Amino acid sequence: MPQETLTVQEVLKRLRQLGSRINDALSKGEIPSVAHRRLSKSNVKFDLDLHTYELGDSQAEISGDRKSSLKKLTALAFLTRVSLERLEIGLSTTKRDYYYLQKSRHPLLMPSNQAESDDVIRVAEVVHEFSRETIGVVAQSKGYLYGDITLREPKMTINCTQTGGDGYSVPGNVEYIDIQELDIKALIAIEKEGIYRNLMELGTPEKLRIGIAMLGGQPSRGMRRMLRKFSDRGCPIGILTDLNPYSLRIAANIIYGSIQSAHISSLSAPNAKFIGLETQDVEKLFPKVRRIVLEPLTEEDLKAANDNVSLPYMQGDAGYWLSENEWFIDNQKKTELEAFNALTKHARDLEEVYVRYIREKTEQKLGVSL
Amino acid sequence: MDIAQLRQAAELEAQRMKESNPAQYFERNLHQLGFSEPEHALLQALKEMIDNSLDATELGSILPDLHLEIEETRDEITLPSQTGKGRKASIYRVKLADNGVGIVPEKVPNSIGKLLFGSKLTVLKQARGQQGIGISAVVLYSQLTTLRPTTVISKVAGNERGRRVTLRIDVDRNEPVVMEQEDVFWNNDHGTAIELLLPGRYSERIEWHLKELSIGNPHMRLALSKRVGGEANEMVLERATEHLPPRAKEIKPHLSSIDAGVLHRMAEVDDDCRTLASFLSKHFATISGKTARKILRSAKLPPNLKPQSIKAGRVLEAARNMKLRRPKLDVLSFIGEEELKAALKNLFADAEFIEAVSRPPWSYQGIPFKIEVAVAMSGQAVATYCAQQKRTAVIRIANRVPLPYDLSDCELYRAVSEIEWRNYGLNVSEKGTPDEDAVFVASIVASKVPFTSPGKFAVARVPEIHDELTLALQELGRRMRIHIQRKRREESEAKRLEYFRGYYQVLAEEIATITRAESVRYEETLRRLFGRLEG
Repeated sequence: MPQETLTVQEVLKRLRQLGSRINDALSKGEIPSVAHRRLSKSNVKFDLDLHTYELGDSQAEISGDRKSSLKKLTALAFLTRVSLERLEIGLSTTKRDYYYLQKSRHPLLMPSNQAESDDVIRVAEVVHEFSRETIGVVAQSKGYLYGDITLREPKMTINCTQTGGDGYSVPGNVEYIDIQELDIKALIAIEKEGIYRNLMELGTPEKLRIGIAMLGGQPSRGMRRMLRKFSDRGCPIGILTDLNPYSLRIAANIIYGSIQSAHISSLSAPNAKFIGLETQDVEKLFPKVRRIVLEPLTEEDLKAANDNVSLPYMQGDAGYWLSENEWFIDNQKKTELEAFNALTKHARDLEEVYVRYIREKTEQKLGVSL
Repeated sequence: MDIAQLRQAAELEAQRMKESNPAQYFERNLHQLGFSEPEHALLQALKEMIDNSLDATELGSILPDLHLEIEETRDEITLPSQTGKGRKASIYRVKLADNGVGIVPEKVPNSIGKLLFGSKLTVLKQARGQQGIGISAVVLYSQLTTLRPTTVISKVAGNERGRRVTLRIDVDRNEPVVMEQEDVFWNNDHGTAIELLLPGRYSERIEWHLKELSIGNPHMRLALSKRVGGEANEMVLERATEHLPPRAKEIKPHLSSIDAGVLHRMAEVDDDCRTLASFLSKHFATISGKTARKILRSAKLPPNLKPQSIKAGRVLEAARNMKLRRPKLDVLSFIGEEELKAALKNLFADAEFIEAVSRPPWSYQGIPFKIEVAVAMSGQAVATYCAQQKRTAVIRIANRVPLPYDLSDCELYRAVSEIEWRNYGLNVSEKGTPDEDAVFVASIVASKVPFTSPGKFAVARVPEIHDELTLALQELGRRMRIHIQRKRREESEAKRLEYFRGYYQVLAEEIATITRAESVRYEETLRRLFGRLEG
């Protein structure tokens, strides 16, 4: 479901609309209230057809006649005003920034902890129906992009091969960044830095005409939003992770979104595909070094595997995820992307190992021949 | 000793024995009657004088208007004390002028300067001076301690002049000795003024006694001008009501409360009843001829026996075993709910809550009584009063006169302290006593108040009185609970409003900035939310 991209002007208008609505109510002596879809786990559905988490239709109301929601209503107005002001001068805000802003506004608005001010931001997201990045509340930046990808930032246009360093550093807020040109057949999003850097060093993106992205563990919101933009452009996306129960979650997070952000549909990339490491790779890829590359599952890994079983997305895709997850519970083993190195005798062998794997998997999972 | 010596001793004793007259009796027993301590003495004297004045106004159905002057003179005397060491006390000049009916000129000396034993054996009537020693005892006390005479001015309505008499009491003869006497111009139409000197000690307690007196007598106006320790002050207790209280009525005694000896004497001196049955029905309440005959039958006495041949013990026993009707109850001069409230309002002007409960009259041992209770809560005046009390503040009033002493022995206090005030929404201390700024009033009026002992100031525990007090206090408690709950609700509503107002203020500021409005109104919304409070 493509998310409409809002301009700053449209966002400012939406913020002012909330102000006007409350003003209207107050000037008529009415009780101001704001309705929104209920932000609770019980109202989060996993749409098996759309393959995404979504917020259900259950409604919640923040109303000025209840002691319990009066603080939230006031804080929402405060956040809206702060966002307006900061957006107008192009100033971003972190959640922590906002925590301090709310702390200092008025004793009545004092949040008891950051979770409370974070919650106001979540409420603003669902009320205004946009992500917090839209109003400049950004997460930490994490992750890189490399390949023949041309991005248009508000102040410049940039090609991701021309950035130097580790590639284009994906900022916390990518809301106002557009993909201008895309000269790649697919984008491979990689969990770990080592293999991402090796591929850059080997010139693989250029040779295969692919883009690569470095997630650095669980992808940041900026990266997830970025991947969505690739998805919206019809760019095939493959997700390459370690082989362990957590890595499944990284993949699912990109593809389906998360329960936490069920109210923001723009954070999932529905056409992204998981390309490994898969459990079948253990036998196919590492038959000779099987014993060497497998590491024992830790207790936390095992717990994660057991918890995975009940997650909604696990039930879809014809049992694929469940059987992948089952393997961890049965074998109590895992391995990592670094295991590719165990398949090489000499440094020059590594390129072939990578390329073969990527070609095979993009063909098989994305239907893209490189 | 032989027979002759024994006879001689008896004869000597007989010579020494003289019939004691009331003046001599009081002379010897003044210390038992409230005059032992200088502070008590002054208070006791004031009580007697004021009682006298109130009685004088009541006789004429007059709204009392009393002017009291208390002045500490430079003289001092040393009072003997039982422990041997004398105590110094200042001499006070006390003058009380009332607007009562006055005393006819020729009767002035006798009514002030002659002590009379009470002759209230056969009649029952609610009266102030229950421990009654009367005004003459005060005159006597003054004379005994200061050796100075008393001056009286009195005027009867219609007379042009008042009679001024300066007198002392000849104790041995119990006769007034007029030292000076003349007719004078007096500004008042009628009334009496008595001026005398007394050793005593002035304290706050005296002023409070006067204030409490105004609760028992809301129709009284009392102006006090005092000069104590060189400082002059005025205090006026305005009357809280223009209504005269109902007048107390005389009633016949009831067989269930009379002593055998008294009954015997009444029968002995009776000379107009031919038979015992007619004697009983004539002199006792609720006894018809039929009931009298029934009692006598039960006492195994013939109904046509002469009264003088009464067997008092047997008659009373028979009467006790029979269910006699209660006496007529509407014979009491009570304060009244509205009057009590008005009086409290006078004393505790800023009290938040004033309530009074008047019980219907009832009787104990054939004696009508009526219980009234009241309370004043919160406010500076109440708080100040409560701060001075060691215990629960209970103003006790018996037959419209406040009881200044013996608090903890008194049923009027105990009944208040035995109520579970917690159940009525009051905060209570660990001991269960009210921990609130609250002044209680507990009043009893009765044809005869049962005091714990003569000369004492505590009401005895009598089941009927205890029950009536408890019922009255429970009703008062229920009304207090309604007030307390409403107050707490209003307080929490007011708090909620303040809470909402705070948020709406911030909200309006933010909305004004967002919409670029100069200001955003929110008062209307608060009014909608809080209606009455905000309106």
